Amino acid sequence: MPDPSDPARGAERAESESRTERSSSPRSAEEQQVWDALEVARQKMKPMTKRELEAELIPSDLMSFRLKSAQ
Amino acid sequence: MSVEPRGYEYPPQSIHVVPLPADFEQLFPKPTGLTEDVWPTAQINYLGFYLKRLSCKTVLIEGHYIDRDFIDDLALFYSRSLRGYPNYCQRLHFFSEELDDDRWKKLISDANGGKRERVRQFLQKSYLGFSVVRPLPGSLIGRTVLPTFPTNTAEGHRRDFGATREYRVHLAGFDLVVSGLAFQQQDQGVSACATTALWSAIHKVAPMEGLPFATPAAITQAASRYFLAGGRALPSEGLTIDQICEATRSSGLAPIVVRGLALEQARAQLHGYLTSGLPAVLALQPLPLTRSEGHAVCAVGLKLGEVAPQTNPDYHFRDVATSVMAVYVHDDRLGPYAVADLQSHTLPSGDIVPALVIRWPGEKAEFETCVLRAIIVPAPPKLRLTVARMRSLGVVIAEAVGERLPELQGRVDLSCRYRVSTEYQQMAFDFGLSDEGILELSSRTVLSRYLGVVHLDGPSGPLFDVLLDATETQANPSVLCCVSRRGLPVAGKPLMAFIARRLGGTVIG
Repeated sequence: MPDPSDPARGAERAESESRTERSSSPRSAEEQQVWDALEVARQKMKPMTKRELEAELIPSDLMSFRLKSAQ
Repeated sequence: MSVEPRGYEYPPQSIHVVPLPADFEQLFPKPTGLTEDVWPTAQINYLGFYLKRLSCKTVLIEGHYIDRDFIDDLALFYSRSLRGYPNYCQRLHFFSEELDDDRWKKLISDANGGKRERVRQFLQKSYLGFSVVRPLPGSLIGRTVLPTFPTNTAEGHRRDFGATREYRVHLAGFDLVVSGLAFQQQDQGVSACATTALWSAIHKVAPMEGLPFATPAAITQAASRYFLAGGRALPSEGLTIDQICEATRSSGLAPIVVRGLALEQARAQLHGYLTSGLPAVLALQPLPLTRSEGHAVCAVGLKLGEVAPQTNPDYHFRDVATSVMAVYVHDDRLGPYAVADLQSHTLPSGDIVPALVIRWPGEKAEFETCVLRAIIVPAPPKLRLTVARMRSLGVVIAEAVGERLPELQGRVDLSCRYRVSTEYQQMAFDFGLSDEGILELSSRTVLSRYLGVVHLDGPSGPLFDVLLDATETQANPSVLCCVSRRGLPVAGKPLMAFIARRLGGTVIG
């Protein structure tokens, strides 16, 4: 068993909060500002990301596109 | 009169060493009869041209070579022909050193006299790969592996050939190595352009997953098992994208299909997959769009220039994918590593689409211009997070960092790619992490085999990486951790930590 008083494991203890706890609420006003900046960026980038994600929807006529080039 | 004794004889083996002829076609027998094709074929001309660019001086002709791909083609198709096709090929090996038959005998003698490793090293130093010559009069060029051009171009651009690998070659008792990606000409019996393009792509990805290489015959059979929209499976009448996907799945891989919508979008996709070492089959439609059928090539590498300045004044980052100028493709109508400039093209309908202008390497003259209809990437099955999904998170992080760190003056450069986690862990020892940080990454953080890496560069070097679990389909919440890099300014450290918390990942610094 690891020794809980071992200072080398401090980082692990600090990160012991769960993933959901970690992203649930900011710890400071400065962190809140960064989280707000991320949300603004998310809204701003939506048109770009939407177009790139749309390109992964493949219509059936494209799936039937035959690739056959004579030499 | 008695029955002729047959089935007793073995074919002869021979090795002859000749200088590379000024006209490369002199090495090949001209097909007899009145053929539809011009002689020499474009593939032979291209191979000769490419070898001269590699400063090839010598061709070693191995008279008997059993090629796995050809013997599979033979079993499926040619063995049932009236003409008796042999089951073996010839193989040409190329060297930059001047050699002849006498020198070859001397090398064998030296190796026999205790200098085998020295002779091997001598051969390796000038080895320029090989080309299998099939006993098919109209389609001679079989499996061919040649080295790529160097990383830097004469014009100051950079070539990235991440989608190549090493091939071990056994020649007369010497083990040689060549780096490249296998190319072969379609034979029009078992394979069409799409078959050989997919075959090339699988040659890179299959060994990453410990899978066997699918031969052209296996690809054609798998493609036509469930999807035979019309016509015969053999001789091959080409493949649809559906069939390419089916053959990919049959090979143990998973096809990722992306439409070619716009230049920037296509650049981003090609940059993401190819720099990750994943070749892509490109579905092309030649211009003018009068034919309903297309052509397939295999994208192997990228020609990269400068990262373009941000054109949108509201954005605070640059996209590294804008540096993509051209794609290096295996085009079976030409040969390996043909250049395809990536451009926008306006169709008569007014639609602006991504297009490729295919050229011979180093030549200005256009061979063909095609619309890029789709990109098909045979990927490892557990790589579920696509480049588009990775980028959908990456652009948000890059924009937020650029906005929050104005001292970087918009020089936040975003790139997204995959890395094998063990490779990333090895690289991380050079990131300048603290002992605690490297311990956290190497020993306390669970990582997926393939990582999605959102990488941010700054004016003073890398800022930080966001590592994503590529076995998930959504980029967030799949963030594993944020890893600090040397170029991250002091003011950026809390920023990275706040971003990591928001994304649910840990901080490694």
